[in-house]
Amino acid sequence: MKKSKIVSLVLITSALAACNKPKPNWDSNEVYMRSDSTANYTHTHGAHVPLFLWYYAFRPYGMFYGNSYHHAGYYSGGVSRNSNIGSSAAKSAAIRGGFGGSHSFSVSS
Amino acid sequence: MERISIYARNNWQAAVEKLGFGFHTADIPYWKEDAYYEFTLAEVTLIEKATTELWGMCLEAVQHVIDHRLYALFAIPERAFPLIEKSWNEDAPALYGRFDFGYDGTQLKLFEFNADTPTSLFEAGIVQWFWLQDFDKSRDQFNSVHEKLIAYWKYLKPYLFDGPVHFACVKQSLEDLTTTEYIRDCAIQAGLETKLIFIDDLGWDAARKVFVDMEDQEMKNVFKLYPWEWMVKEPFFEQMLQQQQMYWIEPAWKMLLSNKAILPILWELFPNCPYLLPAFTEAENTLKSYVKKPLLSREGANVQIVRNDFVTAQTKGIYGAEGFICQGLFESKSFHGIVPVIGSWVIGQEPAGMGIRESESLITDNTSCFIPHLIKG
Repeated sequence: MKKSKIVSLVLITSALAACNKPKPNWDSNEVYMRSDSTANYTHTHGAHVPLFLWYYAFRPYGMFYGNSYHHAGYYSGGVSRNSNIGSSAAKSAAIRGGFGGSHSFSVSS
Repeated sequence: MERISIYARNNWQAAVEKLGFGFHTADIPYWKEDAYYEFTLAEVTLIEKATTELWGMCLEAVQHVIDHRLYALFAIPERAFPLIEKSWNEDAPALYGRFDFGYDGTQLKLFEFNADTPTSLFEAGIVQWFWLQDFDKSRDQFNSVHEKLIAYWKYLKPYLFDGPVHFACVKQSLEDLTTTEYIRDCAIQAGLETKLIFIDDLGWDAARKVFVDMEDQEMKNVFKLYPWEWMVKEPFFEQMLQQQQMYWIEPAWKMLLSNKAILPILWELFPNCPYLLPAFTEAENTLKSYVKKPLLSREGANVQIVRNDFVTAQTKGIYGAEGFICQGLFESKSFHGIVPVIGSWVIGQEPAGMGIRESESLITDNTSCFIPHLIKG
């Protein structure tokens, strides 16, 4: 039934490694975060983002134009829109969050 | 089909984690290898044949629903009709699905088709295959999931829009992330450019009227592990209707097959099919012993088992607002109270392997365990 005896993965093991990032050593679970230096901090909680996703907590944000990549900062779903965008015109070009609001758990079926 | 008890590998947690399988244990073990299921080649051939035939029937059923505009039976909002029909008429790319079967040693019966967001693909394609390499390399398994995923991405490549394929899932679930990343892994091996994005990070650029990723790059091909029945109720669905040149995988027509309302339609169209159980809408039900299922539900939630008009088992949940169907009760083979369900994968247009989940009740829920299998002989 198995047509090939060679099964290799190029990506998935690195994804797991990312999930095993050590737990942040919080003195308190109350944290103030912002993803843009022009934005205000937002009061949030250290445990707001699942631990296995800390690798993805702040993701690079930028765009391509003129055949090159222009870094515009970082973005996190863990903080409010105010603390993500600040005065960055690049970041405010798109609205986000229009999908993903129905449920917060697995879609497993 | 037999259930054989064995000793688990001493280092099984480390062995599966090395593969990237990080959700093997929740409150209780999800991956179990202190037993395996053994199938004869004839049984595997039966599962393969049933999967092929049912896939063909499902495609006919979708055409029937669209031709007769039976959307009301599915409780699908009217604004989704054009998207369903567009994706069907354009033959938009569809990658995979999982038929869940009961088997009593003689008869194989379809319980449901997880056509939109099926999970346990990584466990079926990778984890149980490497378990077999450790357990007995000389044995075989009904499993060509990995090869078929890569091959089908290669086949789809010329049909996709220019640009990367974005892979989207929810943030909070390692299971969903692993499934999504596994499918992306296969796409990378097929030579596709890919990007991961979480579903709530998708952006809408109103000026260009396009969906954009975190780099403001237009998204034209999106694999989403996120159900259509949720998407149609969320704010960006209106925007989805505006961006015409875009593929969503699985496509919108899959919301017909992932809805339990397809079961009465299949029964009406193919009453002599040996793999189907009688199924009716709740209003038209004539069965005395049946399983009552919500049109839309996940992981066995809000299911009732009724015997001779009495409810003998039920599960809790948040589903059922859209209505229910009733499906004939089928007694699967039980092993000292443990009941397996066979999840048979279709990838592209072909059967591609199976994964077994087992429970201590007739209802397979989110406490069920994944057990590896092999072929006898």
